[in-house]
Amino acid sequence: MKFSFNIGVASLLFLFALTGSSQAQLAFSGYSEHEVDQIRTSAQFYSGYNKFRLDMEQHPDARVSIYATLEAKRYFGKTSWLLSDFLPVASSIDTTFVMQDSLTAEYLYTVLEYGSLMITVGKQPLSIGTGYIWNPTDIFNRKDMLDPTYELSGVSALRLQYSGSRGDLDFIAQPFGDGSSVTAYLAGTTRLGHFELTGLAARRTFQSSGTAEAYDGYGGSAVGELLGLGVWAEFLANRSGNSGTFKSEWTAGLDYTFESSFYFMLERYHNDRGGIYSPEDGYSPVGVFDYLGGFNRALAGDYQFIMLRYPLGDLHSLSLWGIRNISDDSYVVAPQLSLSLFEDVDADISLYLFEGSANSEFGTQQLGGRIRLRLYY
Amino acid sequence: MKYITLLLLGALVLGQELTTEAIVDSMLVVMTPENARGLSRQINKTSSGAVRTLEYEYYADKGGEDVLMRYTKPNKVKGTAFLMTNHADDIWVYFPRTRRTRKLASHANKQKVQGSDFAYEDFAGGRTWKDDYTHRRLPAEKADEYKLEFVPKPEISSSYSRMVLTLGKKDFFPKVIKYYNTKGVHEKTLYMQDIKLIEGYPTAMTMVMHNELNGTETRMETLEMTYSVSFPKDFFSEGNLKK
Repeated sequence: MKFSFNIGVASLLFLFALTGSSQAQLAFSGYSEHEVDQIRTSAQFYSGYNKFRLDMEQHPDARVSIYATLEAKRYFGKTSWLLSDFLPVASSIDTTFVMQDSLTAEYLYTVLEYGSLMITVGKQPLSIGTGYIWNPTDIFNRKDMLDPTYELSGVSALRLQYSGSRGDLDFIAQPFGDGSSVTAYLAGTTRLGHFELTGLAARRTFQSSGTAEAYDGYGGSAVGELLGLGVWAEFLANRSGNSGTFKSEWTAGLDYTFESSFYFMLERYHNDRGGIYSPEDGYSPVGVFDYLGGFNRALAGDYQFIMLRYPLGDLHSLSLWGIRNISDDSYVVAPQLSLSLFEDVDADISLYLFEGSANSEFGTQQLGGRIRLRLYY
Repeated sequence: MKYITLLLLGALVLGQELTTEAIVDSMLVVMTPENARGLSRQINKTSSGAVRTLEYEYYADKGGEDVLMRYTKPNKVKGTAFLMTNHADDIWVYFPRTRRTRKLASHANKQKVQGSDFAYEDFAGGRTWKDDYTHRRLPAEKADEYKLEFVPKPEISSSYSRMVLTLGKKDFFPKVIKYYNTKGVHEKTLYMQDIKLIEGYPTAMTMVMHNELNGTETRMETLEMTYSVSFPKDFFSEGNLKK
């Protein structure tokens, strides 16, 4: 079993657990999760993991909170994959990646409160933007399109949030890997009727060909209600350097709940920087690298999403969702059954049906299935 | 409470029956204290007999115009919080594991609260009943009760076409509320039980919502409640959901 293990972090957590005073009770919670996936590409494989998450929090003072989350994950089944098993990459750039067992401090952060000001420092969860799957204004994270509500990895950052009577301010600074620069984000939010409006400026630092580069972004988001429908949108115009052309990335969506509790959601996404596709050659290597390297949050530039959900009794629900890659005309459709088996036990059963040409994003795979069980404590 | 006393005394002296308006005003006085803070237990019983128990902290001000609920049990939903302002016209939900706050549109107030027979809009009544509904008196089954019908005004979006309340003449506190859906079908009945006087306000220590269409039932038990509470300026705000 291989570990990705930070001894310093582990020591800190051990001390954290031991030195909690009687006045600052250490609270534990978390879950164990078990997942098995069936994947059919050129052949059929199964893969999965067992995961244990431990959340700890302590409040040594009314204005101070300390949070830590440890995660242990162990894989089984097929753990070594080729990129071409999941993405339409040319054989010349195809490479192997291995799912490695891990034990990590997923979150480790402190929250300080001074009246309307909240300071969060450390490796923390960041959830930015109004979109369900795609968040152009979230320059720190990228969601898994096929599992957008799953927890994201922590981001080491300093965050200052100010809540005022007229609106809120949010500032985030994330040091870049080699310490040469930072990724910074500044947003202001206000309310207008039933709408919440955010304007932002950001500078994102990323790795490109071994050096740190940055681009500046300006944009915003809105969430509210129009004609009874829930609506949201995000927009970010960004450019590299001072003379580059601004490129846009945006998402827009709407949802509604009927009186029968039937729910639907639609979302649309566009990115000027998305990978260029041609039916003959597939995706350009640059587009694939931009996606794999985390520069782009999706392979292509245009997508549509739809979700329908209906409750089955009081405890369970049935969903049907689909994502269409407009650029290469491929899609995935996924019926999903969500079950509340016991008070603290949930299960999700999903089927993934992929369709598209061989060199398209969703045409690489044929069929997939997933069973996930989560037990909370 | 002084207002009710004056009304009753006035009626006794003059030997007159209270007007419908006076009854509605008296009802709202006892139903909507300015502020409230409590701890409640919610027991959901499904049609298949499965039982789910949740506990939550409850905070309200401006007579229920703003409501904040934070779940404390079970572990699955611990820390999940809902903020409803403007009588549930604006709803935010907070997920503690991702520290994500999501604003929901008002259509979400038709959704059930954590699988219960209560919808978010059921928590948002109170003083809106006077402004957003027309009301008339109906014949009561018992001499010591009033019966009122509330119908939402055309400009109000509601899951219910009407509600029928049965109040006690002594305390003006609702004992039974019947909810009729937009097709005019009797969908749910709320029973207010075990009424106790807390800090001068009648308080239902047990509320049972029975779904007449599918046989499910949700029981809300008040574990703690106080009305002598004041909240900081930004308590009912999105920022406070994370605290």
